[in-house]
Amino acid sequence: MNRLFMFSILFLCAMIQAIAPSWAGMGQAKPPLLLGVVLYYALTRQDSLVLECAILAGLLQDSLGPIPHGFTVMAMVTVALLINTYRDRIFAEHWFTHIMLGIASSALVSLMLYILLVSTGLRSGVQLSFALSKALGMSLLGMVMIPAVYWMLDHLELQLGLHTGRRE
Amino acid sequence: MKRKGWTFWLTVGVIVLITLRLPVGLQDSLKRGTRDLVAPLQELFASYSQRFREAGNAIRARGTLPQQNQELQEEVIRLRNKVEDLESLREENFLLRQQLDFQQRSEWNLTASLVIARDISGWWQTVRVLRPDGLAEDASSAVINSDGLVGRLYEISGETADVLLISDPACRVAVQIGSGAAYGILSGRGLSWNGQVLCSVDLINRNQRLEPGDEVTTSGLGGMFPRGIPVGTVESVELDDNGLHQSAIIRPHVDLGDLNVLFVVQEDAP
Repeated sequence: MNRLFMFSILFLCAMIQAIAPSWAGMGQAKPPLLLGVVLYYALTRQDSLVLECAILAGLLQDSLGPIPHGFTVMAMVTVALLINTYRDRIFAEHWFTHIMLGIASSALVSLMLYILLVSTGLRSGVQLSFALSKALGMSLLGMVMIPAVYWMLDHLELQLGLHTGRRE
Repeated sequence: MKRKGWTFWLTVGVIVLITLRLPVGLQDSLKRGTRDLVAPLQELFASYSQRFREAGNAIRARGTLPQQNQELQEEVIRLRNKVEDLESLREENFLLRQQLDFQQRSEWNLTASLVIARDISGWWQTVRVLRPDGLAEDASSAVINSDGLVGRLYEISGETADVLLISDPACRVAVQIGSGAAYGILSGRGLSWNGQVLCSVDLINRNQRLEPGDEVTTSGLGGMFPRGIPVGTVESVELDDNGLHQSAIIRPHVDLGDLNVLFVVQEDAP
């Protein structure tokens, strides 16, 4: 049930993220919904499910866009495992933590993707200023969207009785 | 802090490496499969969001409807006159071509397609449309809307086709500026801080006289884009650093932030 719920949410978030307009003035930043789901699982679940969620979210984002497979997977897995490793040292369920993690992780994923895309020559024409404005835009969107995604998933799991599997 | 064993990190590393080194064929199948799987739902989302947008526009325009109606009536009269002029010109053109034994210009075959999504990450400037019937797997046709050139087909799956927009640096279009002999290659420059789409044409002959406001159309050279599709207008012109060529900044006619229905141009054989 846990996995079915996770797959459904990831598909739904991928679709909404693809349809959502991008923030033109901020490096075409998109609302980081998939990253929000990954962060939720990183803060509430144990290794294997966190890893599955990060890999699936990365594969979905790569499959639905022109980015080659593996780039977003790498960024998502890095962020998810970093947060999952240190989650006991932070107030994992506090909204302020979600805001700060939303800002930091969105910027980190953007900059990792920029480095990967430029170093492989796929987007060699993209300037650093564009990447920085994108990272800033993603951080601002992440600041709002990631706590919102956490709150919604938390309530949905409560309604569906999936809270029992948390914090193993 | 939980300590993860080395086997865990090794597994993670191997998984990431495998996804990074997936064979090209498998990557393509995975991409196409995923896109086709979500395409029906994206179509549903897109059609509902368009309805909401139209309803919002109708509510916002309520107070100005009489004025809009008046303007549209005037435009209809202007366009009717223009069509009559064009009809007579077409007949004259046909007669002259017959006399000179010119080959008939090929006609465009336009296929409408609904925009269902945009690039999910925002690193590319693309939109996804439903794949028109009869479109070849490797087609790279021009894509337009009522205002002019939008881009070209990029990646095609069973149900969808991605369109690379003219604002993307990877989209290059052979263009003609004005009615003279100023030719060049237009490429995207992405978006400015205020969201304005800009493109540039480089390596234009420095002896060609260009002015802001000059019309830019596809030149038909290179074969990918048919001749005569409106692209935009010249915003500014400057000499290159070496003083040998001119560069022009182009403002596209198409509002790339508001794309709902696009047309794929498939040129019929003459």
